[in-house]
Amino acid sequence: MRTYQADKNKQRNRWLTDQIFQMMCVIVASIVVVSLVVLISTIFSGAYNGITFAKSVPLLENDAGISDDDSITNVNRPLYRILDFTGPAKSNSAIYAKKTSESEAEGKQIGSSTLNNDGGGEVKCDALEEGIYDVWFVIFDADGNELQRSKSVQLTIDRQSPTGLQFDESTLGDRELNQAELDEFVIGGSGIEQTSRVELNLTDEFGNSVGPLAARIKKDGKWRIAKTSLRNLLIENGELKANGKIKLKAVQTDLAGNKQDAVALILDVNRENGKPADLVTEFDDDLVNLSVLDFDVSPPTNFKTFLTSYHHDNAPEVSGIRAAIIGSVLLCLVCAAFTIPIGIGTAIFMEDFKPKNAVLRFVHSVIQLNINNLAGVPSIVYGILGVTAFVYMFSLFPPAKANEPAKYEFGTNYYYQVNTLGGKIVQIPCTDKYQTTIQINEPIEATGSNGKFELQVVQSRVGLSDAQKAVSVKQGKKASIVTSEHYWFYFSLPFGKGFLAAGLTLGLVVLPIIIISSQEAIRAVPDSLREASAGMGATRWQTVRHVVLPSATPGIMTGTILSLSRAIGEAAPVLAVMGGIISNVGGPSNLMDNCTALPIVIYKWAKDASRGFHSLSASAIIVLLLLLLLMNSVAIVIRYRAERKNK
Amino acid sequence: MSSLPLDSDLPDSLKNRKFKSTQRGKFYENLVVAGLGFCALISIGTTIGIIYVLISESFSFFFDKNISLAEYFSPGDWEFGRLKLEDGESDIQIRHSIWPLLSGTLRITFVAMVIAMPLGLISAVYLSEYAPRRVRAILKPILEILAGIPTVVLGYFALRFISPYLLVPLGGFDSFNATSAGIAVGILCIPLISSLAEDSLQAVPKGLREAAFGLGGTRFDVTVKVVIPAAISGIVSAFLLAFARAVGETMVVALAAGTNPVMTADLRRPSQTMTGYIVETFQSEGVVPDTLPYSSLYAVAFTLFLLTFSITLFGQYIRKRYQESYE
Repeated sequence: MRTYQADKNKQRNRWLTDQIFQMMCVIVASIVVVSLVVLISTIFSGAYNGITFAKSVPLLENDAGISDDDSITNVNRPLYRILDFTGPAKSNSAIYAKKTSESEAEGKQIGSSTLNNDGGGEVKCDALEEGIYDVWFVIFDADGNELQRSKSVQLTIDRQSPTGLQFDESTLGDRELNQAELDEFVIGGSGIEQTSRVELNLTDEFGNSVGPLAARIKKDGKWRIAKTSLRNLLIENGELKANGKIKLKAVQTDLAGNKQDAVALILDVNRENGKPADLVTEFDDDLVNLSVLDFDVSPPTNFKTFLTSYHHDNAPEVSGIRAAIIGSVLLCLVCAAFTIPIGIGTAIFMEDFKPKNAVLRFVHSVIQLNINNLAGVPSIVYGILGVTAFVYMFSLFPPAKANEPAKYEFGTNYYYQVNTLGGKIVQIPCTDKYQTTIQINEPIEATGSNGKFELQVVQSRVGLSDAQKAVSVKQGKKASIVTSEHYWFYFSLPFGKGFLAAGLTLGLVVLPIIIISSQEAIRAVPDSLREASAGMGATRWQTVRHVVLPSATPGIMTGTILSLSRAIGEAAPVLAVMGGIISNVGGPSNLMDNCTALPIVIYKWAKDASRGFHSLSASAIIVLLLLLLLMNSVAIVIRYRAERKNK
Repeated sequence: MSSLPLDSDLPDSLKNRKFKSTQRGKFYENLVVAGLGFCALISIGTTIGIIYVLISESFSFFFDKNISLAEYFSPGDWEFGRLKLEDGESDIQIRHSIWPLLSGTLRITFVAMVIAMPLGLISAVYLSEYAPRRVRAILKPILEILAGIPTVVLGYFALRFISPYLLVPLGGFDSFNATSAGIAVGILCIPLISSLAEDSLQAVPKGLREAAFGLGGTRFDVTVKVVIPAAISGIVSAFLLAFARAVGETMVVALAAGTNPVMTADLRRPSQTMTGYIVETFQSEGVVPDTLPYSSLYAVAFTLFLLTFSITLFGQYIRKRYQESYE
C-alpha cells in the first residue's frame, strides 16, 4: 500500500515537472515574441517624432505679411533657431521666453535679429536653464513699435544626455610619467560644438589655481593641449611648481557664452629629491560631472524632406536619406552583378559536374567544405579582405601621391589653370599629366568662359585695356594642373575607397550564401528529369541548360533575393571599405566615387550626440526594414507561384 | 565513311537536319565546364585571399621593431591609432596586448550566450516537442523575422533602448556597456540556435519517442532523457556556431559597447571588442598601408579569424563525430 502511495506521489511529481517545463517553454517563447515587439516599437517610437508627426510649430498668425510656416527648432547645441519666418523687410524681431510655472512673470528677451531685405530671417537665441518655457516672438518696426506678437509655444529643456566634453581615453587611466614622458604627454579629448573653446583649469590640493590652458575644438570635434604647454605650466626652472594632486578640469564655452561642466582628471605630482619625479595621472570617477544642454523638441522635418534630402552636420531638421537610398541601390546592383553569375555557376559545378576521378572528387569535397566554412567567416574579415584586395589592390599599383594624378586611369581630363591679368580664370589644355606646372612664355591656346582664344603674354599691365587684360598674362606666369570633372565611367587602379570596391566586398560576403541556396534549389530538381534528358542524348551542359536550370530558377531566384537583402542590411564591410561617409550629395558621380548606404547612416546617426539624429536613425531603420520586407515578399511570391505551377 | 546514307536515301523527317560538329560541341562543352570550374575556384580563392592577406599583413605587424609577440599575447593595455601622428609628434606610447580587446569580445559573447543558449534551446524544444500547430505557425515566422533583422538595427536597439531604459536605471551601468551589447547579440543568436537545434531535434526518429512514451514517460521525460541526448551533437554544434557568430558580430558592439579597450570582468563598463576596434579604426583618417595602426588591424583580424574559424571547424567535427545515425 505504501509503495503504491509513493508511486502515486512520484507520478504526480513527474506530471508536475512536465507541466512546469511546458510553462517555462511558453514563457521563453513569449520572451522571444516580446523582444521582437519591443524592438519594433522602440524603432517606431524613436521615429515617431522624427518624420511622421513633425512638430513644425506655427509661431505667428497669418497676417501682416507673416507666413504661417514659421517654425521654432533647435540644433543640439545651446542655441535656438527660428527658421524661415517672414515679416516686413528690415524690421526688427525679438524672441522672448518665460518659465511656464511663473505665470505672472514678464518674459525675458533671449535673442533678436533684423529681418533681411526679403523680410525673411533667422534668430539665434541664448540658452536657457533647465525647465519648461513659454517662448514667443515679436516683430517691431524701425521705430521700435510692436507690430505683431506670435502665439507662444512650449519648449522643454532637459540636460541629461551624457555625451559631450570628454577627455581622450588615451589620456585617462592610471599612468606614471617620468619627466621625459611628461614632455610627450598630450592631453586631448572631444567636445560636441565645433565653435566652442575648451579651457583646462588646473588647481592644486588647496584650491589654488595653477593656471589655465586653452584649446579650440577642431572640425572633427576633437581638442588637444599642446604637449609642451602642460610641461611649461607645471615645471619652472626644472622645479615642479606645485606638489601633490593637481586637478585638471575641462570647461567648454560655446559662442553664446554657456559654460559646460566637464570631466576632471587628477594629476598626481610627487616631488622626489627636490626634482620633478613621476607624474601619476588617474581618472577620478567622483569628479565626472557632465552636463550638456539637450532639447526635447524633435527636428521639425517632414517625410518629404527626409526622403529627398541628404545629411547635414548639426542639422537633423533638414537631413534625409536620399543619398543613402541611392548608395544602397548601387551597392546592391554591383553586388548582384558580381555574385549572381559566379554563385549560380559554382552551384551548377558543385551539383551537376561531380567528377569521377578520385583526386578531383577530393578537390570537389574540399571546395564544398570551403564554401560551408566561408559562410561562417565574420563579415568584418571580408571587409579587411576587400580593403586589401579592392581598395589598395595588394599595393600592386603604386598609389598616387598627393597633388599628383593617378597612374592607371581613364575617363578624366587634365588642364592647367591660370589667372589672367583681368582676373579671369582660364584653362590651358594639358598634354603630359605628370608635369604638374607649366610656365607661360609665349602665346598659347586657352579656354575661358567665352570659348577658345589665344592667351597673350605681356611684360607689364601698364596701358592695357580691360579687354586686353582679360586675355593676357605676365611673361613667365606659372599655371598648375587641375583635374577636370571625371566622366561617369572614370576608372582607375587601384579602386580606392569607392562604391565599386564596397559592392564587390559585399559580393564576397553573400557569395557563399547564394551558392548554398542555389545548390539546394538545383538539388531539388528530380533526377528523373536529368536521366530523361541524358537518355535523349543531351550532354551534361545541355541537360543543365535546358532541363535543370529552368526548373530550378524559382528556387535560385528566391535564394538570391534573400541573399541580396542580407547584403543591403550589411554595414561592417561597407564601413571598412568606405570609412563611414554619410554625406554624398547627389550620389556617386563616377565608378570610383564613394557613396553612403542605409545601414551606414543608421549607424552614424544612432551614434550622433544629437537626439534629433536618433529619431532620424529610427526613421531610416523603418525605411530599411520596409525595403527588406519588399524584397522578402517578392521572394515569397516567386516561391508561391512556382509551387502552384508544379502542382 | 562510305556507309553514310545520302540525304536522298533518308526518310523525309530526317532530311534537312543541321548537323553540328561533334568536335566543336565537345570543345564548347569543355569550355563551359572550365568556366563553371573557374567560378567554383573563386570561392577557394576567397579563402586563400583571406588567409594570405591576414598572414602577410600580420607578419609585417609582428616583425615591426616596435612590436613584440610576447607583449601581444601577455596581459596589458591596448593603445593604437588613438595617438595620431600629427604635428610631427611620434606615437611613443604603443601598447599592444590583445587581451583588452579579446576580453571585451569574450565578455560580450558571455552575456550573449547566457541569453541565447537557454532561450534558443528551450524555444527549439518547445517548437519541436510541445507547441500546438497554431502556435508553431506564429512562432516560426517570428524567429525568421528576428533572424532577418540587420545587425545595425539591433545595435540601435541596444544603444537607444536596452542601455538607457533597462540597464542605466539599475545603477552602476555606463551608457556604453558590455551588457547591453551582449543582450542584443544574444537576441541575434536566438533564432540561429533555435532553428539549428530544432532541425536536429526533428531528426530524431519518431520511433524513439514512441518507445519512450510506451514505457510511461511524460513528455518532459521523453524530451529530456531521450530526444535531447539523441540530438546532442546537433545542439552543441548549434551552440558553437552561435558562439562564433557572437564573436564575429560587429555592428552591435560598434554601436553599443563603446570604444574603450579595458581588461576587466565588469560587465557594466564599456568594452571595445576586436571587431569594434577594426570598424572604429577604419573610420579614422590616416589609416593607410605601411603604417602601424593599419597593420595592427590585420593582426587583430587574424586573431578573430583564427578564433571563429576554429570554433566553426570544431562545431562541424562535433556534429560529424557524435552524430547518432538511425538508418
